[in-house]
Amino acid sequence: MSGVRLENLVKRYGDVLAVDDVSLEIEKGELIALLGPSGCGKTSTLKMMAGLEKITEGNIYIEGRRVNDLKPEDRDVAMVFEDYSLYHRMSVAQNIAFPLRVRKVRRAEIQKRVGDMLELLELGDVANARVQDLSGGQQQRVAIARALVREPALLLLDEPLSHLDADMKVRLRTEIRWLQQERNVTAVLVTHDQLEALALADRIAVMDSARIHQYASASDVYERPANIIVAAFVGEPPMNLLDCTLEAVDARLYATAGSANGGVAIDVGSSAFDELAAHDVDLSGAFVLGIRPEHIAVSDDGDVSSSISAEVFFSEWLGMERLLMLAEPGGKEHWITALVRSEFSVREGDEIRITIDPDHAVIFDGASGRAVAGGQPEPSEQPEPGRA
Amino acid sequence: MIEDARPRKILRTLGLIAIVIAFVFPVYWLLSFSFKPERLFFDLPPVWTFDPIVTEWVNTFRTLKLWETIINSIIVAGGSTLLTILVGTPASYSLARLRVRGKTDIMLFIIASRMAPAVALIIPFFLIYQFLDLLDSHIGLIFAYSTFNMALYVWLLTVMTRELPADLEGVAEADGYHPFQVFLRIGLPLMRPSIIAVGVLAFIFAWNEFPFALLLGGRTTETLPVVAARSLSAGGVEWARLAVISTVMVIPVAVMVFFLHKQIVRGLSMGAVRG
Amino acid sequence: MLEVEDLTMRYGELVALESVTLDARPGEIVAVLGPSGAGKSTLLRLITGLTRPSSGSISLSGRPIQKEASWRRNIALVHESYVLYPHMSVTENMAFPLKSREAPREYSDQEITERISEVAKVLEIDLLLERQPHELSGGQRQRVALGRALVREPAVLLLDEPISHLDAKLRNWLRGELRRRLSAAPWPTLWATPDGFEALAVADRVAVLRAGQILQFDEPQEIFDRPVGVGVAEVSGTPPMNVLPGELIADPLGVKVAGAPEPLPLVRPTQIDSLPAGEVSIGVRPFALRIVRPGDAGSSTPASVLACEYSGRHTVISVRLEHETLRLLEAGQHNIPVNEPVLIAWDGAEVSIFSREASCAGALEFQTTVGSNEHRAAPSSEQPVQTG
Repeated sequence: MSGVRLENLVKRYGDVLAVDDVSLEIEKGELIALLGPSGCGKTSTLKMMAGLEKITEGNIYIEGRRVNDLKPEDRDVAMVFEDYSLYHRMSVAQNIAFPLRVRKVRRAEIQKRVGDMLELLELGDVANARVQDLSGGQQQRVAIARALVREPALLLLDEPLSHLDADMKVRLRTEIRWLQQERNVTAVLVTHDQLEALALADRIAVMDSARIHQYASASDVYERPANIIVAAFVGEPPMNLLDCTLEAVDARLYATAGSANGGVAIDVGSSAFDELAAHDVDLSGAFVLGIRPEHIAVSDDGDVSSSISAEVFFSEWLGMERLLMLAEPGGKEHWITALVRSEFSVREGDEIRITIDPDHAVIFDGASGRAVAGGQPEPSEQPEPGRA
Repeated sequence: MIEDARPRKILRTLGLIAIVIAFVFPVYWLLSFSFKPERLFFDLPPVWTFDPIVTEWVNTFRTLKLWETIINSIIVAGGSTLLTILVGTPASYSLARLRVRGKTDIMLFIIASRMAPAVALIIPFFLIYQFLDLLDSHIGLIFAYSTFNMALYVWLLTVMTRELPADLEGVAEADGYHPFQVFLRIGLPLMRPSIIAVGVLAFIFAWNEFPFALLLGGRTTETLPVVAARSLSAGGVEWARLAVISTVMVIPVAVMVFFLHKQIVRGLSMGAVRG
Repeated sequence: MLEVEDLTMRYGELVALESVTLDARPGEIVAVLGPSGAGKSTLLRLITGLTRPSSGSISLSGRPIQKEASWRRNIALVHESYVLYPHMSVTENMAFPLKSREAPREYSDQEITERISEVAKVLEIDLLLERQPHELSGGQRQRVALGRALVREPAVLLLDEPISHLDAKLRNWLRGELRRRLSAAPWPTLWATPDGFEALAVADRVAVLRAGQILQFDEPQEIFDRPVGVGVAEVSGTPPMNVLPGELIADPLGVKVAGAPEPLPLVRPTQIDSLPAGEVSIGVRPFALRIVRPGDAGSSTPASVLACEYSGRHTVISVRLEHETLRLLEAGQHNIPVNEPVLIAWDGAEVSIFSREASCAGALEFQTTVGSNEHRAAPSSEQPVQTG
């Protein structure tokens, strides 16, 4: 059953197009993330769902019911804000009880549900404390409890973790995921933090300049980005994006990238070749080779025919892994980032050989930015606004 | 929020117009009195159209030597405002941003000096001034005004200066600047809108001040409020003259607020310093 | 050379810093790693001279400076709240420290311009130089604040969470770029951060600060491989080491973990004669544990799944083990339903055993004795302490 459906949603502020033809479907009990940089339209979309912004065009359905003309309080939607937005003069328990009280729920029922919530979130010890005496993390937990106590049809989370310290952020992230699944509530998370989206969401809608660029599972967004905008935004360290030209030799694809001596040819394998051939892509244009840092293998002395040479620009030891920033041999600029085992020992200035894993390479069209091999199709057939 | 529908917009505009009329009308009424022939003053219903005359303006300026009074007022109000700003600004900055021992006590003391009624202060002032031979002198009035203005100025400016971004001074010190340099180069420029706003307020208070001017001043230092008050006597009220003097008193304040209103609003809301 | 010795800071009853001793050589980056409230900012304020210490000494190249006025110390500070002078443009902000009378030498206008444009390019703010602070985003302001310090030639550079608000791409890039730059500089750098990952990546040495005390001051690899106590273990690595209460049994050597039906046997490391028998804390890295199916051989403990958080390369799986939460790191994406019972395999896992003295006092709860480093049961290379 569909939990929420957005149908060709548009939001205009005067002449400014904030949300451009956004359509997506959220299954019941699913948590999806609207991920994008500030100003991409994710918050406007959320506010339209909540009823805090008027819908310029399009429809929103929550559990099959069209809610366009309903007031926020009639939509059965609960919201958790970035800044907690609790009632400061009330105790924790009173805050949680508040949405039930305004809905005239019976006193015994309120007590039971608030008690459940306090127990679930382990807030029992602070039930009678005033919320302003709590830490930020605790306040946000109270806000989440207040949102869930009503058992809403849709839970909206607007950057719920962005004001918290790093360690609290990670703890609360786990808790939100657990609660959402435990209560089986349909939820939409708005965030600019790609790690947060990957960790929490079943599916991610990557937004930029008012449009959805990809709506897919977290692993598809990461492994098979639909275009360069998605590829560059998701993943830390970010995906390598190398300008290149393509050449097919014996049903294998070779990408020529780099600036020194006309560049080096990188073996991208046969599956990319097949995909390009299947779509009849003209190989004469400009392309971009996308490869995640962990899909680059390094060695001190690799096979010269299948690997390329690079110079270690700097190397960072990260405990389990080592991050290598590589330059073209003799080059002075960062070119490729590789993530390797931490035991691989190199020094800055060393020359090493690298091989990419062709199964994880993504080829983007240089002009449109759209993935032509290794990626997913974009949600719409509209022309791309070009490379970011 | 759901955007305004058109009828609501119109309603709001009408409401605003009504409020503006309520505030502007008395000023217009005052101004019209100074140009109205005296016989029309109390006609009911009020006479809205008439041939303006300037006789009362000419008379008032000539017979009362109003120019001298205006200059007195400017010297006294301007001088005391300047003195307040010069002394009060560093004081406010120190109270707001530096570690000063007994800060709260000092602040309470400052506000307490505003609580006493003016009359209670006038008698000691009078006796002291008599001893120091400062009665009927500009400098005497400037000092007297500065006492009550200083309290207001320091109190308000301190509260406003506290709102400047935290840690500015620490960062500037780490950048190699002596605290006094930090005050001059970081503190002062950021306090400017507040200084202007509170300074204008202090000027207005001094400009309109009456009891001190009446009792500590004299023939040579007569200020506008004192002269205006003389239009009211047991023999009756000289309406036209009062209208002229009042208009003269309103003009500088209106002009000042007109030119500085952006700074004043910024100063009072402290929006200027939030980057 | 910066030397901090026995530095203590008390605010009334509250001890913000207690006998902190550390040093930093020219060209060295020392990370001060700790959660918020650990005293990182206090330490930097004391070195800058914005606050006077209760006791202890700070010296630069052998010269004590704790009595010197802050503006004469020539210490560049990037404040955690990255304040800019609101009434100055970006250029003016960056030029401000160079125009100080206390600057180490006089800079000509031309040199000031050159230094600013060079640093601005590195920080990617070269197009913002004429902007006013209120026209900048949070990340841009943070970079300008950083730029204001980097144009200088200070005696010491102090960075308080300098790259925490930047997007992933720029943060990764800047971390390396700053490291390159500062390693070549003739002054030491202190880099405060709550992020264990960042500290390992960037620092030559890491001082782990917790509740005002330095728990360990050592090279990143030592901090990661041989944490002296639970306090250190819990901040190094992402996700950090799991720490569970347990009981050490001498004969046969083993450790009893909550939820385990029988003690997990340990292999006695040859170089250790005595172990802290009885109540101990057990540290185990998230990647050392595995989830197995019922019936698989070996020692395993039953647990239930709390949440699965995907990060692109791995999934962090949080499980509940009686009253403890345990995090596991598995490669790829995993999606186990919430509350699903699973078995956690300990086979061959390296575990660290920490003695639990002073287990009653708040934040010091897990502080181990000095000897606990030797008590640690598993050096990283071989795996002398093995279960099964």
